Amino acid sequence: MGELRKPFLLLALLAIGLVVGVELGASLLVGGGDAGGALATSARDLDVDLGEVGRVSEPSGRGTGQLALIDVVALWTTGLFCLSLVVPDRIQGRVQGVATLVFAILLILASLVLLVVTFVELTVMVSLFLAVPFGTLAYLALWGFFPVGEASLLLGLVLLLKLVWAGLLLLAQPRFLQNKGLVLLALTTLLCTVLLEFLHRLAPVVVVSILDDVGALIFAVVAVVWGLVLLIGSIPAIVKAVRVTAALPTR
Amino acid sequence: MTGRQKLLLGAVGVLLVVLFVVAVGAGRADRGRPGDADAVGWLGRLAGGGATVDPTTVRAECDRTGDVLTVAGDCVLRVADPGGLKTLVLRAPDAFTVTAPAPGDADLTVRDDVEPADDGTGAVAKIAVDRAAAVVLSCPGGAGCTVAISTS
Repeated sequence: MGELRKPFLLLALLAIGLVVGVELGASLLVGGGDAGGALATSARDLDVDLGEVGRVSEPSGRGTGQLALIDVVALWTTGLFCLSLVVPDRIQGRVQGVATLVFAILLILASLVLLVVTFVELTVMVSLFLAVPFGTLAYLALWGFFPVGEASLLLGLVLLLKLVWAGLLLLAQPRFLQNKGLVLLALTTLLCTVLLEFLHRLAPVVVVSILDDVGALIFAVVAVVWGLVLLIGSIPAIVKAVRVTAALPTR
Repeated sequence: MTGRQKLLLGAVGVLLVVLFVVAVGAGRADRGRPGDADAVGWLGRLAGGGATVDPTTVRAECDRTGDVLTVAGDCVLRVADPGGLKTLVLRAPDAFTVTAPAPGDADLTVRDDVEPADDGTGAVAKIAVDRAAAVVLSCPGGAGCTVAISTS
């Protein structure tokens, strides 16, 4: 099967790092455009007059940002592969288990917090949308005009980078394909990206923010599951490290 | 990696790209009607019916008998903080006008002319409130009218 091809592995790390960066920066890259005209049109559709209106802008959504919860797992895993290039196996073996445990706990906590925040926001969105016309207009002003095109562009870039990441990992070491966890992680993140695009295109624009939040909710749950997988997976490594340390001769 | 595995991987990659392109190409691009609750009605049913504002937490700056308000010109209703998103339900036999701030962080006020329904149930206004708010009622033509604060 050959040696590990380091340049490809480092490029894979760069690709997945970019993915996480783009996703975390999605709130800055998507939305923010003026939606005042669209709101006025919607108010006419509802047969109501708008009084004083402040600035109304397109929302950025939570879905793309919360995809990062899953992709940090991919970044962490790729980072660990790269760490083996610079850190001796002996040290990495001892540190990896504990570091993964801490990472998994932080990931689970962050995912749970975002799960609750997203759920609360989702219930507010739905309640407002269904409270015609006062609530509906409030919903529209805050979330009603999701920039589907911009989000698609960003998700397309993210999907491409993820495919590049997976391809580079295989080029670095074809045996990564035998790592079922890694294959499953790659499939999870790729499918979640496509799922979010489907959710964005499933319904009329006025309800896309709601479906985007549904996607964000799903990603938070998936991240909790991956966090648990990492947490459980780190335990044997910790036990092994403790045994090895205990077996070392004391001075 | 065997040739078969390479083929399978390539197929999975192509499938994902195709699915993405299908989503972009075949998806809906229309804005949709905001009053059409069908799209998220199922979510609303999951969330359950919204709670209504307790009439005793509403202070009226016009004549009030029980929960019935006599509006002459304008009447300002001061709704106490409901502690979450609730609906203030107003019912009247005839048309009336409501002006209220939109809930949430939306920086806007909305004015709605409420007309009696064709089924004889009168005019009903449902105003979403999530904080202390002032709701202004008025009657068409400046004439007097009666509006009741309802719990359903």
